[in-house]
Amino acid sequence: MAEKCQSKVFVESDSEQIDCAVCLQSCVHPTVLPCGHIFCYLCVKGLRRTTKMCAMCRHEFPDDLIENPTLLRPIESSLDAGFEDGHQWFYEGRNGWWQYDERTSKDIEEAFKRGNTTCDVSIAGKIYIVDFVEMEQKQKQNVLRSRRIKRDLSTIPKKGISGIRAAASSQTTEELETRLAMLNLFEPRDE
Amino acid sequence: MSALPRRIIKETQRLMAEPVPGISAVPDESNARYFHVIVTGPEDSPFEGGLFKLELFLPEDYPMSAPKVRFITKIYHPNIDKLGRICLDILKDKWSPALQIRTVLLSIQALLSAPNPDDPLANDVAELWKINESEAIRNAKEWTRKYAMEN
Ligand SMILES: [Zn+2]
Ligand SMILES: [Zn+2]
Repeated sequence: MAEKCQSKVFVESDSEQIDCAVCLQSCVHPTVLPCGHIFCYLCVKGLRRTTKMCAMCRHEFPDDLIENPTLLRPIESSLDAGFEDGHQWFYEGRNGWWQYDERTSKDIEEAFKRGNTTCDVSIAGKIYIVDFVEMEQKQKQNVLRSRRIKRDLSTIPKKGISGIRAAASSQTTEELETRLAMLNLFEPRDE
Repeated sequence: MSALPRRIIKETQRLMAEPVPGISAVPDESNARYFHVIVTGPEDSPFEGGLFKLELFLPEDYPMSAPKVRFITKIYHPNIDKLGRICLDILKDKWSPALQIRTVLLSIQALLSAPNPDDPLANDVAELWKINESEAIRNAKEWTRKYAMEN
């Protein structure tokens, strides 16, 4: 009855660009699920919050994947990257500042540069209002839930990027290569 | 200013550039999350020749949750009730964010080609479909002529 999705994992040899079937854009911080399918880290977070399964093959995945994601590439290179003036956008977590993911950060910066007082961003399937006057981020459906935000030097001490801990991504190249080789060898399980 | 998630923009652009045969989906001028849909009744089905209007709405956390779709044109079908609500697994528990507006509309078109009276919504229609299929099909054709063929 329903058209089944039969797309498979595809990792290009240089693994530069992987399309994400959730946001329909190239993956930001590609994250590998146990079934082998790859999505943006934030898209995986959205899946965990809602359907709790892989969007392609419907396999459930463990919750700790959000805390300890299997990333295709370490986040180090993104950690201190900033705009031309060396700044970056951050939001406040329970005990420190987190850098926004590259896509959201770019959207916020563009709206900020245009002189907008607010902008909407879509993060992990939820819409947030970024308020440049109050310098906070609010959930659109629950504006009482807000976090402080700031534009600061990209090199300030931070917890990580969009929920990915700076320390969590220190996988060795060897580990990553083994992972990639495995992905190319095995098709994801299908039901 | 309410920005539309890029995924919705992308899907809309593709729906316009490469429309699905037999289906048109046009976003509302004042609400880009609301689509005016027309599905052509599939050939060799009791709905052949009919143009069926539907409305499709993308909720705030789309694609994490499924689009809301409803028939506006009256239709005699075991899986579509009087209010136009559709009984289709992918719109409920079988939704996956990898599905798109396009796939949803194709599935609805497929449902018109293959009614499933064992998984009914409109009970009396499904009942007749099971006990007297030829009469049910006659009714479906009659409704198509009456409600889906006028301008
Ligand atoms: Zn994504
Ligand atoms: Zn999968």
